[in-house]
Amino acid sequence: MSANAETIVVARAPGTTRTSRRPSTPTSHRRVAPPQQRPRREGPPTTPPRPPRATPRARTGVFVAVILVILTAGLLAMLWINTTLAQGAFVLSDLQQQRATLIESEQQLREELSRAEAPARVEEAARALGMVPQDVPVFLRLEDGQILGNPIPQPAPITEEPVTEDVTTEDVTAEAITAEDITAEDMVTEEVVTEDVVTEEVVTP
Amino acid sequence: MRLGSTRKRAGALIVICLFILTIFAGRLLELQAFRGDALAAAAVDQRLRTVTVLADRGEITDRNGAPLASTVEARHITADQTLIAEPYRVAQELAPFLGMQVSEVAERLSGDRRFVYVAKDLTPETWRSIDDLGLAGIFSERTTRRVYPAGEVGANVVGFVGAEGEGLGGIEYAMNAQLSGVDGWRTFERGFAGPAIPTAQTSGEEPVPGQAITLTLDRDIQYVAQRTIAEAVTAAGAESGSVVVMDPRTGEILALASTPTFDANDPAAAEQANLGNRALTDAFEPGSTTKVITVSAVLEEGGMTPDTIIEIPPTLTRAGKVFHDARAHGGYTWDLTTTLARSSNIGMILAAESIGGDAMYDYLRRFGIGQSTGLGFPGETSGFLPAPADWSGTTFPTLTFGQGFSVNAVQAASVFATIANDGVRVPPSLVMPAAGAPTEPTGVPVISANTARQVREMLETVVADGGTAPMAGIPGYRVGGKTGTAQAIDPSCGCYNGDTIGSFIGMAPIEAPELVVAVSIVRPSVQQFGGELAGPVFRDVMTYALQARQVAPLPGPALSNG
Repeated sequence: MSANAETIVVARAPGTTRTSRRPSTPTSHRRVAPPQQRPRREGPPTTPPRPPRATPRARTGVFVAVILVILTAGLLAMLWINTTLAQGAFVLSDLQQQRATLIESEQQLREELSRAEAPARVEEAARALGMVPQDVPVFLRLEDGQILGNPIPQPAPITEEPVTEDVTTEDVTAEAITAEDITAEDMVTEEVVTEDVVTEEVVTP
Repeated sequence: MRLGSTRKRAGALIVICLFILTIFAGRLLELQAFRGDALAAAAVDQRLRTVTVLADRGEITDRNGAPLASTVEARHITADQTLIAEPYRVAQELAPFLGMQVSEVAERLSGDRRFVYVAKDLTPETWRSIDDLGLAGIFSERTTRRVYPAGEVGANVVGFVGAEGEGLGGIEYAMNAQLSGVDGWRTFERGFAGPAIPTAQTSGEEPVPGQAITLTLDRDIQYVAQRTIAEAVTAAGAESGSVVVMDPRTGEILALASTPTFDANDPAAAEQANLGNRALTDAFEPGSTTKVITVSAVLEEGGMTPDTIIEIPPTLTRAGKVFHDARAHGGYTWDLTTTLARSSNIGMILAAESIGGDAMYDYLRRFGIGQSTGLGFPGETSGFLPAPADWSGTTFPTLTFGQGFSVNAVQAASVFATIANDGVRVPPSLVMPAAGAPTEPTGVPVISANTARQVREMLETVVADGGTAPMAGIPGYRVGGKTGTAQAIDPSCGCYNGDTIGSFIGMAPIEAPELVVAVSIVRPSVQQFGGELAGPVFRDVMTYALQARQVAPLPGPALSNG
């Protein structure tokens, strides 16, 4: 970041030569050393064109500024990281909640589907369409088109025989589902059933 | 304001500062050093939440993967009565979601208890709608609920669970250890009503979900079996009934119906007696269906052939007891096949005497009579077969036609499955082995394939026009079976009181049977023979099962309409 870049520039300025920096470790404490040692080691030949900065007092000011900048930058970075993390935690929590909700509704839909698929339901729907169980099994073999069994037409459905028992079963098991769901489900079931039964009709006329 | 020199002021300032700092230091020492650990722990405690992560109970499916029992999330609605100022008003808003009376809800909301259950096992969706109302003092508790989508279908096999989700009946009970998972837990720090604190330590253990179990049942065949037997039992005014559908080649039970049954979603509403599986828990004297064992033994031991002529007298006296046939008759001259088809008790006694009691006992044992089926079903009976040492003079003749010992319906079906499977007895099974599990050794030979074939052909004559169960025939297939009308023991007196058990056990197609269906109807109030009662049930269930299992009839219309 910009703060850091500045730090480097300023830190290097007093050193200019690399030799002075080499022995010092990169801790901030030791950085103080070069400005003090420099004049002593290199002696009278003063640094080329920057006399004002060379005074110890100005250097201390610069140093304090540098520290402050580092501190501020560090604090800001910490704050930023923490905020981001907290923000992330909220997002995570939101998404987890959303996931839980979706899992719940998936489960519920699955449950509704498996209830709708229950054999009693399917039979009820099939009978409502006027279908009857096949009493004389007949198969159509697809490989050679041969009819296995004697295809006798099934007698007309006996309408006076509603599957009352099954209906009550349904009522009991479906009590948790609201009325809207049932109608929607019924329609779906019936459609599925129609398809299924048509296929079966072909196989076992 | 002259207060001496700058120095003095500075001194005073330092003293003040030092004083304040000393107080700070003291307090710091107290907080950090003396009470530090306790305070830190209390702080963490305040933020720390440990929640149980519920493990899902394993699903139970039929052989095709159709769910018979599964677990879904649910919510209990709870209330803090002290937070509810107007119970009646809150109840009015709440009641429609709970499907309860307003007064009932209001009653549960009034009082000063901090925690009460208002309603249990609601769907998460319902809870969300309630939550959206923003009612004070109404909370929810996360839980799971066991659902049985097919309701009654297979209920007597699958079983049911109790209020805490533990298996109490059927497979749910027998395999509870495999089905229940291990609950996990999670501990995390969280802010006030907020999400988890991201940098804080969290720990926990993932829940281990229960193992899924695949049954050998076929849900559709099971349904047809249940519906058919229920209708027949009602029509006959009978006490109960059962149907067993088996694949004789694998021993897999495709349907195990027991009626009256119950709705597994609400076992509390059912009668205790209906919660078990009568096909396994009830032992009965099998009656004439046993005659296949007698005939198999006689043929296998070479005592007779199917064409051996038997002179059947009107009555027969053994050990001082006079034995009759079901219908009084004069003397008959029948071969063994006809004797079986017409189900003569006297003929069976005479046939069995050609091999003797010890051989007869041996064959009964080898067919699995008096031995556990190995299914491990709760409450299952092994039946009863008296050891030869305990026999009286009438025991042997009685055994030959199926009285004096008892079996459950699956054992009875297994006898016919052995004959259907060319004499090799494969133990019945209800649960598919888990993937990768070692496959069970195949069956044990009981009679030769040739004998088994002969017996099957004899069984076919039972269903023919001259036999006892022509109504069990199915057009297009060669069907064979045996009727039985046994006297039922009255448990209160241990005697026969005229109650009967009508049964029919049969197989199809005779040339290479793929299905065995055993039907029994207990204590019908109408006086009818087993063939008339159970035969039509057999036909309907077998007709459906043949189609469901895609067993095609013999090609061409010439062979149809038996």
